[in-house]
Amino acid sequence: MLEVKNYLKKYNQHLVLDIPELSIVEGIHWFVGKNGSGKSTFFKSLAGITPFEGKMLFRGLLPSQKECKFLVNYSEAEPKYPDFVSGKDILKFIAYAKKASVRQMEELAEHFGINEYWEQKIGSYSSGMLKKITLVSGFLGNPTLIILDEPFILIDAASIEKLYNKISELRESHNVNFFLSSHQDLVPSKLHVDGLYFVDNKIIVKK
Amino acid sequence: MKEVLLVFQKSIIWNYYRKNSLFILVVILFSFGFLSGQEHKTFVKSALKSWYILSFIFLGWSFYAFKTYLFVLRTLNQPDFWFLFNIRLLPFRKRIWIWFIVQFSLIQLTFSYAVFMAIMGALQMSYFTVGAILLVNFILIIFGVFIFEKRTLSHPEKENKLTNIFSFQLKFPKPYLLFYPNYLLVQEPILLLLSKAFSILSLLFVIWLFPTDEYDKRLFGMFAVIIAAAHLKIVSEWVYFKHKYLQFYRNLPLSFLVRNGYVMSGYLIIIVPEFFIFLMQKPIGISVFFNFSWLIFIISLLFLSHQFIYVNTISEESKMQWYFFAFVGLLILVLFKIPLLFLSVIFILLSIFINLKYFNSSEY
Repeated sequence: MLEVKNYLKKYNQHLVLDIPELSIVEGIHWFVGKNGSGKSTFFKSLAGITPFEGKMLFRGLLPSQKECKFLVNYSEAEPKYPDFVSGKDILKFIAYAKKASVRQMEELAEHFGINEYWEQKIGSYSSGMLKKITLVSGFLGNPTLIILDEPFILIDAASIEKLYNKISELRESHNVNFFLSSHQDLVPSKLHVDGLYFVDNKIIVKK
Repeated sequence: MKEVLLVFQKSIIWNYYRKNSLFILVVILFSFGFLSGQEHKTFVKSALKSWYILSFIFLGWSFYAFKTYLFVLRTLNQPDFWFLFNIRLLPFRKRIWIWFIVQFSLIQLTFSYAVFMAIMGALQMSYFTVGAILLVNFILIIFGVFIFEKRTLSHPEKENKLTNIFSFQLKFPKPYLLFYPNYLLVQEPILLLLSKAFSILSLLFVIWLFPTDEYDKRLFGMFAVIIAAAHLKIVSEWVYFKHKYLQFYRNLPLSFLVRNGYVMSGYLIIIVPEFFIFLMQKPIGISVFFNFSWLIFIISLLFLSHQFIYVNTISEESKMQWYFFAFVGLLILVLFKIPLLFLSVIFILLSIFINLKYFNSSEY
């Protein structure tokens, strides 16, 4: 599903990740690494957000290609949106770009309980409310890979449960793949994780 | 204590005046543009004699104070400002004093007028009215102190009733196209104000200059370059805005046309005031074709400057030199009567080339 070769990422000459070769098959994959280890950088590269050196192909497509962006969705670890727009404005725009139906967007909003506040300005949201907006954005459209960066931080136990259900449902019914990350060593027992990867010392290794 | 006050000053007071500079300017221009000093005196004298007029003034002050309360409460709701809740660690009297200073500083717009009214009242020996004016202002400050104190004693994540009541104004949907113009209005009003002031004054200058001698349309072309140059910071701020607040944008499967259509339409919105003034004030003899060319020329310049930011093979210092030489070169091209529309086509083609080559590999 994902082929990485000679991947290199530097920020101002500071090397963050150096992956000579990595191949990831379909399934739910869990990426563990301490803060600043490069998990988000790797995810953002795959989502076409962060440029990099080397080769990365998702189902034969480059992350910068439009077709690839239909297949790969990314939910940020600590989202930052403009204060003066509503969560709904943001999601409507993402839904439009990802060709998601209004019905899908509204169903997701109801599932995660954001429909109670998503018409308010983002400036009035708590960090948990904001996190749920980015989680919903990750599910919009018809992706084959959903990257959820630190999905279990900032949200309450009930929302975590809903997230588990959504992930399991999409994996079973639509064969959607997931990349999840955490800076803690805990692997959720409620999810059937197919691959566990450690991001450390500038490389990514499979356990 | 002084240090704590400084923190509140920077986080709330300066932030308030920075974000509301346009609003305050409009209020001042409106108030002092319509009425002269003498008329203000007459108005105040009438108000001091009439409780009916005075009650409307008090109502106006209350609305303004309410605006400041909402600003502080919304600031406190933002996670970036949750550190302000540490004010709870201070003793009660110090907390009250800090909130008093904050609220007093925020209502300076109306308070200064209240002082003017109070002085006028004292001169007229209307001591009872003066007392009422001062009392209303004191109550408006104390009410602010009370709600801020109450808010900071609760949990930062607790929903606030006052801001929720006024959430009706938040329910107007905003299309993506308006995100950046709105950002400029709300978050960067000073940048917008200064850029627009320079740009519009330049335009008004050329409109005034044009009929004074036998100038031709090239003068408008040259000032179009100046208008575009006045917007350079607005251009770079857009790229920063996208990087900071819309990181997901690059994950969106938008076509090249849609992506760049948004950029060009955004600049069209931003340049509307200049184009409107140009249409209204332009000298006789300027054709519709030239109007159109002039607008396209400015937008193509802004579009090219926008794409140029993505070029990551040139350092920021070198880019400034590029801008300078491009500015001089453009003025010369316009002087040599190169048609604006032709230049616009060249700039748009160049922008497309830069976008295709650098957009995906660029990083802020």
